[in-house]
Amino acid sequence: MNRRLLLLTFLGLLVPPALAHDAKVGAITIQHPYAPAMPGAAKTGIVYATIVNRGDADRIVGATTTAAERVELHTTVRDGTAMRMRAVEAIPLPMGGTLALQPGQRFHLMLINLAKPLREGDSFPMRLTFEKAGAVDLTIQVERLKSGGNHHH
Amino acid sequence: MTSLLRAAIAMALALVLAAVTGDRAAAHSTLRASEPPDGAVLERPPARIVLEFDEPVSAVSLAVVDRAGRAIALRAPPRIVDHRLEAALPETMPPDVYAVVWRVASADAHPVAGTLVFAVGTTIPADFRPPANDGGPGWLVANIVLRFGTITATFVAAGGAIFGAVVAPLPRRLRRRFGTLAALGAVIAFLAIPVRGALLLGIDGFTAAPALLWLAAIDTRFVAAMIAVAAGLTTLAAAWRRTAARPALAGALGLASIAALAVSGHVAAVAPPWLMALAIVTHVTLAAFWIGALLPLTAALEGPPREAAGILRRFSRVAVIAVASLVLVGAVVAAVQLATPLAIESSEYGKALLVKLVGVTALLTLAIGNRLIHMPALAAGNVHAASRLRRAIRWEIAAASFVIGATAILGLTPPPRPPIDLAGATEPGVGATALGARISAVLEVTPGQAGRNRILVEILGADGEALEARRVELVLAPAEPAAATPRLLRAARSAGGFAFADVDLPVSGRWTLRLEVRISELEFETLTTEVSIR
Repeated sequence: MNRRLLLLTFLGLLVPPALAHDAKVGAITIQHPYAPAMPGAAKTGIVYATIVNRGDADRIVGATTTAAERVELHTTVRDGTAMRMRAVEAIPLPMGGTLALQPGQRFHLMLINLAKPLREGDSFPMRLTFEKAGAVDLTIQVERLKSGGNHHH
Repeated sequence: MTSLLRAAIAMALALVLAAVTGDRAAAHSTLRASEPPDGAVLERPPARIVLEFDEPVSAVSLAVVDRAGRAIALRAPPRIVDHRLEAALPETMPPDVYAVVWRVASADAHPVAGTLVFAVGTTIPADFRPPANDGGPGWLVANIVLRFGTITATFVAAGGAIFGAVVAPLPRRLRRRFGTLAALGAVIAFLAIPVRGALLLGIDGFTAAPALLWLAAIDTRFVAAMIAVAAGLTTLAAAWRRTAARPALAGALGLASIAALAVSGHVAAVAPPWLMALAIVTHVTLAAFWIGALLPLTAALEGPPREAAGILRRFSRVAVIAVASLVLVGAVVAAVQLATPLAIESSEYGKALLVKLVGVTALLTLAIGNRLIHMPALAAGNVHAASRLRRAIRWEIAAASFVIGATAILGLTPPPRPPIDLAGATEPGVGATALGARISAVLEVTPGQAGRNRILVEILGADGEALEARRVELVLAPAEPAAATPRLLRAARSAGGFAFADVDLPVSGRWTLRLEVRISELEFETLTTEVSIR
């Protein structure tokens, strides 16, 4: 009994490192948050991630980071074939839904006034706040920009 | 002389009338509109690129590149249709940010270039840097220098020929010198064609094939005009090689060369166009006559004084009318060029114009001084008058060089580039989201200010994808209870979303928006959100 328990615990301890780059808060999982490297002396950056909600409907109501002056929540408004970016006060996360904060998708996080340029290989902390689930601390990796397309796990 | 004066006054009046009643002139070809608009973010790739200008232009180059700088193969070479440059794009283009790097030439071979940015299926980063579309400064300088040379050679040689026909025949010594100058001018005018081609192509250094340089400007009026100038000056040089003077023939050839030079420059598109062209030809011809007279007058002053006085008197009678008309026509041309929104274009244009005006004022002052002071002195037999006059004319030559230099720069001043305006970034409006149990919504209120607004609503499913709801009704109420009662509005469908047009939000501040969404026959949800109206 004790040995089996020990073995299971040992195996259980192996699992989290594999998912090290995902973060959880409540029933919400934030998968692979990253920011594309920006060329030159860019003053704005974008953070992408895939957010899976296994619980009640919730909303992203804010984010803060030391890497930028502020983080804005942005949506894409579709008007015929034209699209416009607008800042919004909250990003909805439906019950049991997946929110893709990805290039070409409906929502993303905008970093305004970067403290320093985002270079490939860097990482920076960000605190993401949900209305119900609360705040979660993330580590955002800076990766090379992939032209369009979604990032799949 | 009185009939000439009458003719000059009549022409001047006609030109003033034309300027007042004509359409506003564009200083240079400018981009009026484009398809897609600059900064557009599109779901599907556009079928074609269209660049619309305010004047007929000729195509120099057009390339479409993705963010990595790779060129996108066009379905067919770009073509000019009326005032538009069109290019057909491939049917599929991967989601990316694209830049259309384009160059056209106006009729006077003035380069107009720009970069159009659009995105397919992705957003344009706020700090996106489109590829550069500027040539090296060396070619601009080369063009200004050759333009200066062409104008100077034409004015001196052809202007001198007109002097010889109208005032007094040129001495043999001058005919030989001017003949050489005319031949040189022809070569310069001819070489101006590939040098202008380099400017149009926007190259840096010698990176283009020579044939391309000659052909770049081929569709412009400039090339035909430069060939005509070269031909005119060559014929003039040949005519002067003979020992007989033949001033009438030389004068006619000179006039033809000057007219060709005049139309090689910018002719503002004023209705009727032939009147503006006539104004510019008149202006340039009179200027060429005046400046072209300076060296022959100096030569006359080196000869016997009585002859010199006679020549000067005859010149002065013609010159008074010529200069008066020149100033009047010049003022009209400048007023027409400046009476446009874009034409206080760049400070370079303003500075060059200022230099030209300073030079013209100096020329006028010297000419008036000559007329009123030195010439009577010469006629009275004053022994120093000739040398004083010669010195004054040398100053006039210097001032004339200033004027020609400023003219060359004015003609080649690049037009201002309109700043890149990312479509979504500057259009006023407010975004909002609303969350329900099974659905959520994205809203946009434009312009998001007190008064008439348009509200766009898109319904999203649990997976974040757009959901085709049956019906959406919107209930609006200002957040402060004291204001108007809530209003119920019905939406019109708008390409996958719902649009509420002409919504009146009479007060600024917080407003509550309640969405009553009929998802399907059996499903109904109410979503609520708030927006801040300015």
